[in-house]
Amino acid sequence: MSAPGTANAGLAAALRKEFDQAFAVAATTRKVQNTHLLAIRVDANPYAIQVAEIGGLQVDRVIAPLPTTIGGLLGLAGIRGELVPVYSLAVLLGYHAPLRVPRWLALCGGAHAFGLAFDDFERHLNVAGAQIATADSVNTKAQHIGAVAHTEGGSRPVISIPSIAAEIARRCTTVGVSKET
Amino acid sequence: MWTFGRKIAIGFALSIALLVIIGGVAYRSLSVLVDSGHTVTHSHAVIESLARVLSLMKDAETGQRGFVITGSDPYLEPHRSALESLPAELKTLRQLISDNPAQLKREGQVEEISAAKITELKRTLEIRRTEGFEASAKAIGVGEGKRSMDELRRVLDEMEHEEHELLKQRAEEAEAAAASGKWTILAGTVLCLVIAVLAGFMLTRSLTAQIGTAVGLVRSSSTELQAAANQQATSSKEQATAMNEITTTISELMATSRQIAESAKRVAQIAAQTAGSAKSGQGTVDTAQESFSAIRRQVDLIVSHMLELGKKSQQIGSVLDIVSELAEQTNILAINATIEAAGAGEAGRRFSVVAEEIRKLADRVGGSTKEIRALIDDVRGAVNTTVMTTESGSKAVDAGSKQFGDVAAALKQIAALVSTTTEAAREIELSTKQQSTAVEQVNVAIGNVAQTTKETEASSGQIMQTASQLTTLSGDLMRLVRPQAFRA
Repeated sequence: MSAPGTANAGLAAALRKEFDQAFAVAATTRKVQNTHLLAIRVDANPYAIQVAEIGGLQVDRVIAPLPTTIGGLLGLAGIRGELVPVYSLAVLLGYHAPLRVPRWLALCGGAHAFGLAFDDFERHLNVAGAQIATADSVNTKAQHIGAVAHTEGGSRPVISIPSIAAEIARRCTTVGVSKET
Repeated sequence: MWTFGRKIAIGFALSIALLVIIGGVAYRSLSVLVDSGHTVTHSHAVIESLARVLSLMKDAETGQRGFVITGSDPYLEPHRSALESLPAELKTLRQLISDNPAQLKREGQVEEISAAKITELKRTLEIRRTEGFEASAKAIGVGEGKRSMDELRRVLDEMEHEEHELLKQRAEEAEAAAASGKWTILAGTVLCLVIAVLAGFMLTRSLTAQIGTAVGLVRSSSTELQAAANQQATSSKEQATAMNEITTTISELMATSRQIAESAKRVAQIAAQTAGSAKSGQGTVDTAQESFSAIRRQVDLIVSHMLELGKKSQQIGSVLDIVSELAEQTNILAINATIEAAGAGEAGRRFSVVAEEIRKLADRVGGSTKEIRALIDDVRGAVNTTVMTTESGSKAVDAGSKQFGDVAAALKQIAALVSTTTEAAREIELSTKQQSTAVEQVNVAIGNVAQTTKETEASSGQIMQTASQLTTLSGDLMRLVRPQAFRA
């Protein structure tokens, strides 16, 4: 009984030391050299999105369904006092529509904010630049994939949020043209 | 089957009944004859009274005729005497015929006629005294007095005739009664004689037959008795031999009984020792059973504590869920803070460091909660296993306790059985002693029986002699009852 207790006490001390050192380093000397990624799952497949490309992460938000012909539009969600259209990331990536509403929501866009709903959020990844390869270099044909991150758990495609935003704009435009026609 | 006394009594009863009947009939006939004699005497008295009345009236008339003819008073003497006696005689006559209304009626006529005649006589006598013979003769010549006398004679004749008729009738009745009595006595005597002869014959015949049969039976019985006495004498000898053998066997039985009594005594001692050991074992088992009960209580306490530990672990899991939820929310907040810090440019750099550290902490808290959950799951699994193991132990303790209870019950039963065995062994010892005493008594009794057998043997000889005498006597009696059987 004493061995695990001693080990946990050592771990706690190490954590405390690391936490203190983080604040002991001067802020000006700190260089941002790594890329922050969110490891997610879309239709049970591993993906990642760059933290820098999103405006926030939400969970268990109520999505009000909306009658629409736009493919992937799940409905509207109230976030920070604004109504935000929420799209299914799985549908936009070319998968079938999910049977149940995804739990996680990534807030994207600036003035025209929209939400991308996905099934599961795994963890935060702090990946060095050398570990990220561009899509062209890895020769992937998948849509809306901007790069591939190589982590300890394996390779993980990094979704390009701007490409997704363009796809949404394209779909909205197509529906608007058909209505005018 | 009628007895002798009954048959004799019936014969005598029949004869006595006939005698009584004959005596009754004779008495009745005699009474009738006596009554007839009385009535005949009575009728003769009436007839004599009638004759006296007529005679007195004749005397009165005779005196009247004498005085009329002579005129001399001495001739009136019969007249006066008759007139004095007539009332008494009429009174006597009336009393005698008081039971006959027809005769009473005629007597009334007699009195009237007599009074008229006396009046006529007195009138003629007065005429004779006052007017003389001629006048009185003329008065008599009128015939009034003659008519009165004729009428008086006629009525008296009727009364006499009536009495004669009654005499005749009573004589016939007396004769009939006498004849009836005579015939009854004769016939009854003959019948009584016949019945007496018949009863005597039947009694003699019946008694002879029955006594003969009885004597025959006595004779055969005495013969059988003689044979039985012979057999008894033989049996008595055999019995005496058997008694000797029985005496020997009983002596052996007595020796065996004593051995059994000693064995039973030893069994009783061993059984008593066994009972003591059983009681000691029962005490040990009781102590062990109490220990089992204490173990059982401790095991129940352990199970209770383990279940409480399981509940606490579940509560820790619930708290851990909240911690996990908080870590997740903290992580999300840290990510959003990082995003916001990045949006703030250089100004948000310091904030991003804090957010990064908070996120790391949240990550580590999440990891730690997962580890704690795994540990709690392990603890709950261990608790469940412990509870199940403890319950198995509790069941084993229960089973052990129950088996100890069975052992205790078995020991109690053994103790009871050993106690019963001890009592039985003592009873056997006592019974065997009693049996020995009884066998000794039997031995004495057998000796008495042997003595009795010898006496019986001696008695058998006497019985044989008596049976022989009885046979002789029955033959003599049979000779008296049925001599023809011996003549033939």
